[in-house]
Amino acid sequence: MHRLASRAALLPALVLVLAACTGGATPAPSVAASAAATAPSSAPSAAPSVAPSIDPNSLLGKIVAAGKIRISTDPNYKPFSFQNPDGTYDGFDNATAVEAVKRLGAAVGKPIQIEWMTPSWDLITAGGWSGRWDISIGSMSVTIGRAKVVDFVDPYYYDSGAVAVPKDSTVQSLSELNGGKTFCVGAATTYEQWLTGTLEIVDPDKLPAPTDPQVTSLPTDNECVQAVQSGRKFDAIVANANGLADQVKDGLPIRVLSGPPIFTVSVAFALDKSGPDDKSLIEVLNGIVNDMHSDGTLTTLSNKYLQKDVTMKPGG
Amino acid sequence: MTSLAGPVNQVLGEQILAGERSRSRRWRVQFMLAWLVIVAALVAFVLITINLDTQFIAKWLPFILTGVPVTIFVSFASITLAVILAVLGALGRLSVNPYVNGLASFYVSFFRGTPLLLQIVFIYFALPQMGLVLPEIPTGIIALGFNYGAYMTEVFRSGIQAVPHGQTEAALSLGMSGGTTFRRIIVPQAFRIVTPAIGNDFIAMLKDSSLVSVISVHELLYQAQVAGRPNHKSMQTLLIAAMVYWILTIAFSFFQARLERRQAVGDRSRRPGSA
Repeated sequence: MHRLASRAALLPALVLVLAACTGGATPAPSVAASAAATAPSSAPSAAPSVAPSIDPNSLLGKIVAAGKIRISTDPNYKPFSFQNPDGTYDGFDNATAVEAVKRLGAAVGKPIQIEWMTPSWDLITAGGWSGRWDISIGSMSVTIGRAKVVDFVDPYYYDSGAVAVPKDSTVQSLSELNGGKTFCVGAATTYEQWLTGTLEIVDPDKLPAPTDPQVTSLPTDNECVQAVQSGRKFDAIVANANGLADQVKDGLPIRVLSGPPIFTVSVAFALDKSGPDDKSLIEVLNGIVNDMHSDGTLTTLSNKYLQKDVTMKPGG
Repeated sequence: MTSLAGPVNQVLGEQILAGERSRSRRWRVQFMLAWLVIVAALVAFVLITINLDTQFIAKWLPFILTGVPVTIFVSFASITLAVILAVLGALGRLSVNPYVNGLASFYVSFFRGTPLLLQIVFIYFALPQMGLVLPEIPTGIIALGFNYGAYMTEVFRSGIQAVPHGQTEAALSLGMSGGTTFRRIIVPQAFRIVTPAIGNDFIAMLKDSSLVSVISVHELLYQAQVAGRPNHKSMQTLLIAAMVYWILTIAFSFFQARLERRQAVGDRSRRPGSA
């Protein structure tokens, strides 16, 4: 048995060899950089040219050197992010990303490819990405909690939350949902935080959440709508107002409560605070996002995917 | 008497054989009938409860099926890694060297004692911090392989220990060295004992491979979910994924049964359906 023991001692070495082998042999068919190709082709306006002074150790430097940016998105959120049957990424977020990266390429004088990454949403909002992807361009609402782990670019649109009830419900207003009613929300969303009283946002005008809510968190808020469709009983669903409107349009058996939004929040690209220095990239992206606001690109995309303009800050 | 005994025995033997054949035919027909009834009931239930949209399915089926090669590749690569780790782990668990044995039992204890989903996320974020930035698919394979390797270590250890000690003694008394005895006498017999367990673990692996979708691996279940959610037809796309997983495991079970039959040659006879 002594011989067996000496063989077993080879374990770690073998594991490393094997790991290296599988690394080389992987086809990796899943994350080809396919662009939605739907962004309007307005010429990039005078974006600041930063090419000569890029620090190679900064995030921007690494992206330029690789000629590639890895963008996390969650294609479970039509009309913001979804995939077409041919596998291309589409939606308001992804079209915005394609246009912003095109302008980034123009600013640094080198075309940048997009590699889409689809880690689950709770991993994206948690920060600490270990360099697995460079940026989140995926409808991340700016909250004080998230700002502790990610750096935000200037907002590219403004999101509002809404409450929907089953179509046959008699509930007409938020106040009727007080006192132990059942709610369904997507996990790790601002809507879940609003319900559980942990939502901290810079933007004012947050309505008080119903008292004593019984919360069910499903992987995405789309599961909530489908749960109601399949006959599960929830008193209400809390989700993105535009997503809910899209689902009503698609004929799902829900009704959105009228009245002011439960909260409105800035939505922005996000970068990992624990990653490489991202200041120079944020500076360039701030310029690009502001240009895309002022030249109407974001409004055009918003109208195309959401049939309304969500890019203006509410109340000014 | 002796002149008659031959033909009589032959006739009796043929009658017994014919009876056995017809019994086994009847058994197979009844077996198939049971399956048919259940499958028909299942199909009827699905058709009544889920409003199947054939146009939608035709449009999205190719998208969903692009996850199948990923699922198969990840499963096969992971089970290969798991078998290698399990062999090493079993040797370690049987070793008299306290350090080797300690390492192996720590490995089994840790990887069996923590959830697979946690391990996948942990390895996904931990490897880059150790300077090892592997793409998503190899990362998932490492996580699945290490987890299943821990379970299979115990299977392999018990398989090796199940070979009677007399086999080792006999081989040693014939003048074989310890290593040769292990390679030529113990391993072949142990392998036959653990084959059903490996097959079982592989079938479990085919389905647990869906967990790596959280780290951006677009396998079968992920594709089905992404197709279903934005179109509010998750039940239909999940049903397709379920059928594909099921077909994959049936195909695999078929090959596994053949392998077991081949290994059983010269050992004990196995009746159909007992595998």
